[in-house]
Amino acid sequence: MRTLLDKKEAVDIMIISEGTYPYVRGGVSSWIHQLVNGLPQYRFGIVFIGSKEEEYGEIQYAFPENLVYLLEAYMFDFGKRSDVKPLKGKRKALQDTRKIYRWFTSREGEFPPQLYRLDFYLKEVDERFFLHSESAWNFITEQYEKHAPEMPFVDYFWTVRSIHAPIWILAWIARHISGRAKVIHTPSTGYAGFLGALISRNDEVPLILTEHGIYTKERKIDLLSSDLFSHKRFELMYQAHENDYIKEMWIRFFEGIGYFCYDRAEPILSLYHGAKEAQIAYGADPKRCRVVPNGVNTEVLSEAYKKREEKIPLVVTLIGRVVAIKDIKTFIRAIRIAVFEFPELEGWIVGPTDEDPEYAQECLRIVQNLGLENRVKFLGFQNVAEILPQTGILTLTSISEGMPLVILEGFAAGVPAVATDVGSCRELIEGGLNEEDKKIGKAGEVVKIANASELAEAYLKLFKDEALWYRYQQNALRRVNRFYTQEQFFKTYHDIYKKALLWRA
Amino acid sequence: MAGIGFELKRVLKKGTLGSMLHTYTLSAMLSSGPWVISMIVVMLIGMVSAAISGAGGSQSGQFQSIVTYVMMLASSLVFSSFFQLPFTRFVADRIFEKREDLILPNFFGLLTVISAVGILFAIPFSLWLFDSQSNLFLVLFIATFLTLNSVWIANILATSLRFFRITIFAYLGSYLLVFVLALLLEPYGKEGLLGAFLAGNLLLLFILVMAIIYHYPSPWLLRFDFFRKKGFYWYLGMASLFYNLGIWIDKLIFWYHPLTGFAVIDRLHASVVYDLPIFLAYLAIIPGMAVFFYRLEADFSEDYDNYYNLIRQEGTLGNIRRNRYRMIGTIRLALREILIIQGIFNLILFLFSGRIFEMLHLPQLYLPLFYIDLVGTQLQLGFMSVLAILFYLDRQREAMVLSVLFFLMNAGGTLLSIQAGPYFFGYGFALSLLVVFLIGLYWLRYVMERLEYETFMLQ
Repeated sequence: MRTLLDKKEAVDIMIISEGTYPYVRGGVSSWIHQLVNGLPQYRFGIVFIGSKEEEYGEIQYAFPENLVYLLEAYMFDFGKRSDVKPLKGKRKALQDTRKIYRWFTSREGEFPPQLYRLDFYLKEVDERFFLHSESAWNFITEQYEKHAPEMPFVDYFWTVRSIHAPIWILAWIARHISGRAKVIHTPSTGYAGFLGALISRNDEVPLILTEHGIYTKERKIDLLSSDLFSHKRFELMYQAHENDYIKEMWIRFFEGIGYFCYDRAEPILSLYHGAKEAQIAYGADPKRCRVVPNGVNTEVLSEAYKKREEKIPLVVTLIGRVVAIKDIKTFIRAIRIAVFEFPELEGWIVGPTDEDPEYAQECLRIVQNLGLENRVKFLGFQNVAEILPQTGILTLTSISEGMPLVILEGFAAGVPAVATDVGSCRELIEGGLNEEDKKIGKAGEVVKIANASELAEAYLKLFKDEALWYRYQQNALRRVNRFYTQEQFFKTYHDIYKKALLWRA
Repeated sequence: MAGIGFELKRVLKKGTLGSMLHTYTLSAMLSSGPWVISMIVVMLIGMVSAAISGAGGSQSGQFQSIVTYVMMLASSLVFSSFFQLPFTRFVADRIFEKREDLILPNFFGLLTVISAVGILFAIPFSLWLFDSQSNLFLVLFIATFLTLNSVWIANILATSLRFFRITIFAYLGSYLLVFVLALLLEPYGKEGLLGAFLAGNLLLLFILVMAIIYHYPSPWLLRFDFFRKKGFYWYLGMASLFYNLGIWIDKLIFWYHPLTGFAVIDRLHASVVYDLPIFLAYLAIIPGMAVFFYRLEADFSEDYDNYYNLIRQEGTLGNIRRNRYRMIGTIRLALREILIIQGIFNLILFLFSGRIFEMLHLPQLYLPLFYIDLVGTQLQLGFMSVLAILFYLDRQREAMVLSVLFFLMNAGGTLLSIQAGPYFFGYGFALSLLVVFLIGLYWLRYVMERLEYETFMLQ
């Protein structure tokens, strides 16, 4: 735990950043940065919680004036503990552990009320008890014998330890910054949400949750697609159910702490309707749920709109990192198909290629194999405001998205979009916020994921029918200016913060 | 999106459960071997040269030289012991890290330090011991002391690197040289015999060092990583120091106690009543040592490797536990074999000791002391075995406490036994070993019972 910045001022809003701002660039980080910059009337604090210190590089953002506090802590830095002594462990602690464990596995009955109290983590079932005592050892081995006696024990043991060890670090953070903040705001559930709820309960301050993706669901996907413990072992000897129990443990844990956060947070915000429904499915109270979409700087982008020439450029632009999740390969194939009909059509890829160099190499090879060297261009990082006026269609071919700001930026610059049906793409393109939004009509096309021919068809449809293109453009402009401006975004959060600060008083 | 990767595998790759421990623990066993060998040779030289020259009296040059040998062996063993186990542990850790290139320069670094400190100790020590001896005698004494220090370090390193064959041949060869030179140089008196001993040990050191240089080349000549403050193994050092002090303290007390010791040369003392029986008793435990060494090397080390491999990789808890039971079984078997085989051997010795003493022209007066010494050395073998297993399991603290306790009890018990009279001589030694052996067994049992808990939860 380390304080990197402390201007000794009271913090109005404490934002808890799990592995994002200020170290890692990306959607959540930009959102935090935008929020802090856009609401200078509030003083912000940041608690950064990362996995291990070595995984993070330099601070990526220039701190605004009104950022007055920054604390960082790492959850998985278990160095070698040399001062550990054997310990019996109190019976009461063991009983509490059993009760809590029962709730997490069955999710029946009341949420264990002990978990609301900070002292519970720091004095009763403390780190020493759970990580080092004999009672805890007996409990862990007993559960192992009951549920997974065939699993390599070291995997089981480290899973249990890795799941639980961060809890006490978070509890220490909550104690450390107790009384510093008037409102807690967390951009995700998970560890950040847990910490937020803990501080919120301990200090009796409101907790606001703005969930960007659905944390629990994302962790679930991570877990199901990952091979957590593959020792060098023949495939055939591998037993499918072995990993399942470990994954189940993690999932149960994330669902549990997710619930802990939903249980406390008010309001529970999401960026689009699909996300809100998922939150409700994971146990959020529908009455507290609300959609607050991101906003874009329409003023700057309207300049880009003014720069447009009348003729629609035969350029399809994909703005995003060259990584597998963006499915650049399908984009390249779609361009191949479209070029058969419009030989002068170009596909631009605007975004860094250094994140997954291997994948970028594969993309380049596909471009060569398909003979598209002159048609598909990797432009690297570019100023979006300069690219958009030269763009005919903005596209996203991702297999997963939250709420992609580039679509809104394209809209504000008068560019219709063709995107895969992921995250909030359909909501943005077809209008899904409310009835009024739907009435505005379509601002592009939505297609299935990983379907190059359908993508190409959509590009061609727009390029062939100029009237349709212009109709989409006008719808796009209307939608973004009506619902997705930065001013609205700031206004909404200003109101939410004001209300939260009053709630405290 | 916000998120934490769960890179558990990296967490698993911690080296703390290193199975390399076993390379150094052997040395705890083997460190006792060489001095038994050297002791035999020393006794042989004494007997043979006495037989040749026909002067076996207590003031003869041969006898004086042999007592000097013993003093040099004892003082250098104790003096260097503090570094012996820590250094082998240091070497084992470097091997585990695949940094074999650090072994040789640190070995030389240690030899440099121990020789430098050794001179500072040896000069006043020799001046205090001998005030009427020739300068040549003093120089030879100091040189031999320094050489022996290095020999012990080289020896423990060579055995922990498993140069068993070359080590044994080195000992045989060099002590043969000592033996031959001793006979040739006998006319030159004490200085001649000391020179023979020095020459043999220099040869021994040379062979061992060459073997180490040959197998572990390095780009550096000297390094002192071993002495880093943070990485130094204090518990091991103390355990090793007090164990060696404990081994010698009863002899030392008998040498210098006015009732039992007498001056051989100046302040160099010996004990007529005590020395011979106890040295004979030490020779008697060689069969037991061999048995235990075999069990430890062949069975226990395999069990131990299996156990930690299961822990680190595939083992289910059931498997791990079964393997621990197997380890316990092996320990039990080894200890039982020590008791039975050494016991049978001792019984035979009991029956024939009268005749053996007659053959060696020893007074029958020594027999009661010899009997209790036999019990004592057998217990020492048991204690040594418990210590070796504790080192294996990396229980340095327990090993240290036991060694300190052994030292204190042996010192106190020996003093009391002298007060109590000749019939109790040797009981202090034997009783102190009985106590530490039993406590050691009890601790070992406790450690083995909680092995998984301590391995997993105390990290």
